[in-house]
Amino acid sequence: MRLWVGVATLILVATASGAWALSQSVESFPHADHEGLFPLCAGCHVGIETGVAEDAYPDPSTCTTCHDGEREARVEWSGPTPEASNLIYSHPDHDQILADAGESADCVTCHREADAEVRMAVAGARADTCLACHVPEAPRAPQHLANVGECIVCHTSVWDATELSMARLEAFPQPDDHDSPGFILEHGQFDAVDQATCATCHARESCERCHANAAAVPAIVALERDARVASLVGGTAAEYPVPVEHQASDWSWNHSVVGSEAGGEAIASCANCHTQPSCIACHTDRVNAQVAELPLGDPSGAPGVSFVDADRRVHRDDFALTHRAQAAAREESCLGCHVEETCISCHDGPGTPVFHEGGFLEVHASSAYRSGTDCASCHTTEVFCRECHQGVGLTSRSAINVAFHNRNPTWLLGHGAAARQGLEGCVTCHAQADCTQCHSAIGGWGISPHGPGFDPVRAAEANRGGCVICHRPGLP
Amino acid sequence: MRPKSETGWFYITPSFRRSLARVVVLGAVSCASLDVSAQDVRVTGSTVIQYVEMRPLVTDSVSAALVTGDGLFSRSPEGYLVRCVGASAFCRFTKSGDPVYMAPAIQDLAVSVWGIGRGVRGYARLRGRGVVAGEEDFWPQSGDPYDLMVAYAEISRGVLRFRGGRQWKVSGLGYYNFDGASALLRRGGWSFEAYGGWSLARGQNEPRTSESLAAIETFVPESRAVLIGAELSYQPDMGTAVRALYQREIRDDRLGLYSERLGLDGVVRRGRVAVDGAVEIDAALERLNEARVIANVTLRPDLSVGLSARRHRPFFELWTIWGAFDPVGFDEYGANIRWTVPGASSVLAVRTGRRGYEDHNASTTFGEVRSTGWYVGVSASTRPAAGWLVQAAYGTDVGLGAARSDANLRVRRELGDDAHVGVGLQAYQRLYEFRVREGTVVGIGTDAGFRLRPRVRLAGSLTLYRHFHQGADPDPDWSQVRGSLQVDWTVGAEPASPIGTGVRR
Repeated sequence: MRLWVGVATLILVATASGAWALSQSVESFPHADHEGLFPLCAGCHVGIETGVAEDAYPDPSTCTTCHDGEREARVEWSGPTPEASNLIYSHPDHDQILADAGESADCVTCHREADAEVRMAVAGARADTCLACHVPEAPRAPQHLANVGECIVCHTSVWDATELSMARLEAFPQPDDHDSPGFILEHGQFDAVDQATCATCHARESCERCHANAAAVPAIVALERDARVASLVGGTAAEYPVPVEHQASDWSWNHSVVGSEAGGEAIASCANCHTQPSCIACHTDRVNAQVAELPLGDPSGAPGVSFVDADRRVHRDDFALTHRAQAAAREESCLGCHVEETCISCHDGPGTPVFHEGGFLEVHASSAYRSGTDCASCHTTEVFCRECHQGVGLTSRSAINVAFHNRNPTWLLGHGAAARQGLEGCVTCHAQADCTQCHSAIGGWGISPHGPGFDPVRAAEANRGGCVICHRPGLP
Repeated sequence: MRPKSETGWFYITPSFRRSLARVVVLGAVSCASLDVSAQDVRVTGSTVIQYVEMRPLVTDSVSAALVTGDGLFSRSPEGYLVRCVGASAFCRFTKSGDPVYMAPAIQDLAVSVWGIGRGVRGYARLRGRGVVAGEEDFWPQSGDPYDLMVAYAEISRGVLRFRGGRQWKVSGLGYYNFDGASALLRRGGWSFEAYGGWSLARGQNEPRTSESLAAIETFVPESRAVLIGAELSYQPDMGTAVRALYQREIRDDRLGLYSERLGLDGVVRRGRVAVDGAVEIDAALERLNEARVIANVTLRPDLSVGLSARRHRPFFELWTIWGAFDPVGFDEYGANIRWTVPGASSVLAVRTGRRGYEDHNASTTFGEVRSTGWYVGVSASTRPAAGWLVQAAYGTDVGLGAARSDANLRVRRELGDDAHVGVGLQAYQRLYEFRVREGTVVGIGTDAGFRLRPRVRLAGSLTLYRHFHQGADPDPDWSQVRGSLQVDWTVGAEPASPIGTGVRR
């Protein structure tokens, strides 16, 4: 019986001293130098075992028993100074838990220096020692900040650790996973236990720094406020990393479709980063039902993603060629972002058109021949092109211009194939009179330009005036 | 060409003085009569002055006694291919003339007025043009000092919108201006518009019977035309839109048509797939002018692929003889891939396509022309650091009539949202009709833009092109200097823009 009492006492003393080691700043005491003097930890730290804080350390006066100036030099040891902590730990409770589980531990389990050769090589308890038991699924004792455990098991929430100073809060270490590239985007997927873990370091102000919808997110509202945290995050800019799906080339155009398909859940997700001004930066005309679900944006709160200075590439690359149907069906939608000058800048702009790439004029011939950008949609080729071509001398001048047409003087004799296949190109230089010199039944050589598919009756019905350019009325 | 003293930089041509004066007076009257600080007027101005220096092609002659070679293949002593007709004492040929320069200017002034009454709005756009210095007749439409591009009044209430005046109808069929009226009915995703009025020559903003068209075409229409059309559109959701449009231009003497066209367009976007299609039909001659389908698939957020198929046959208005020449078209198939480097700071795109022409049914005794064509291009852009943009592209396009191979590199430094400075390098070769033969044209240029005030922007560019000849033939010299200076400004209100200016370009 006395043996069990002794062991229990030892355990209690050891755990008590360990607790103090974790929670207090321990001024250096040369335990190893006193190894032969104190056979039991509880001899000095009985309060650890009993939970009586006053007895956790010996009274400094007991040092004078030996350090009286005669046998040993006097010392000024006054014991550790108590320091605030956010640690939740009770040596007696742990002792009881271990006892209930049929296990035991003594002081050196947690408070012995690693690889120590002497018995009283005392050190403060390390957190990974705690994790060795609290995260038993880990193959070996994990690092304290490896995010394999639940902080809340050992730590209070930051707002409950009222005694912690600003300096201590600022010095809180950061878990390893917080540095991973996707952490900010994925941290909202944690469960309630994880969120309680977050509360070890974060108060509501931590979330309100970036979340435009903080007041509407239950997990954020569940956090308490803390003036110290508010002060710490107050000067830190919000962070809005771009989600992967937002990086798709057509995201700007498709985001409303995605939002519609996902329903209200998507809007709630958008609201984490976006406020109504985010949308209105582009959709200047209206606040529709979806946009109205977003927060308005609080000047004193999270700013939300700003597009004022962003590169707003909204439409797909081929949109310039394919917007006709949508522009016709929902003109008012276009006008949400654009004014009439936007259309004019391409369709009839006074300056350098934004439709064509830089330097296009110099190399436009091949594109024009294949109507690659559908020239006639914007240009009347007979007018727009020919006026310029005439100005620079690209015109027939009623003579065979041998500088062109493959530098082939016999071009005229075999030009029919090229004319049929590239007539849009021909008319950018040639007037009709150039052709009627030969292709006319009135004043030309009577060479018919009509192909096998030509329907003279239909052409005449459509506009007889076109026929009489080359034919006398009533004559073939 | 005018004497040198009259083509100096400080010489303002009379036509430009007149057009500028008209625009300024009209602009001043507009601004003076309207309180531009009120919430119902916006005035936009755009001044563009360009500078072009080049060597236009001119006709020259040489004594027939000096040419070498026989018949059609005679050459001048300098190597020019010349044309000698019969027993004429001179042979003619084309060459690059002396360098000329011009500084054409365009002044646009747009006024938008609203708030007069519920749903009432007015919009007008006036364009003045002229040549500030240099050759007056060199630049397109330089003899047309001003145009009223658009001027209409609009009332929009509920599902209806009426518009009257000079307006445009922009559709897949092109850009049609007319003096008349239009009515638009919108209900749910449906939209129906009917329009009609006096038709104007596209790109001219004047009747087809005007002098400006006669200046470049021998056989101009004898009568004006009336444009009538109707368009039905349906957009059930943001990812789907279809449109059908029919329009005809009828001679005002009712003796025929100038055009009768039908257009169908549609786009469907579902998830990662977007399909766009368009059809244009010449209803008067029952010809298919354009049929096109483009499918884009976003395989991954950073990777998209597009496929396209197209049949094209040119359209010509019926007052010309061109449609009677039975122009044939081609079928074209293309593909493109676009890869966006995660983070969207770099983009790589590749495109390619092949086309085959229809049978031309013409004699090829004196040489066949290409019946196929192809193109391939690759472009890349990256932002190596904040505020820097680097773009590079290379493309080859080979086909009937013209072929090119060109590459360009551009570096742009963006100084916030208010300024940018860029430099560019371009090199190209052109084959066939508009060729530079075996030579290469290299261009180097710079451009810059500055927002002087929140609603005043200044932009300019200057590019020097130098034609490096190769071989002995004295081909045309394509060396050029091109520059532009543009000032855009806006005063007055921004409609329906609670916090910003939105996308204005």
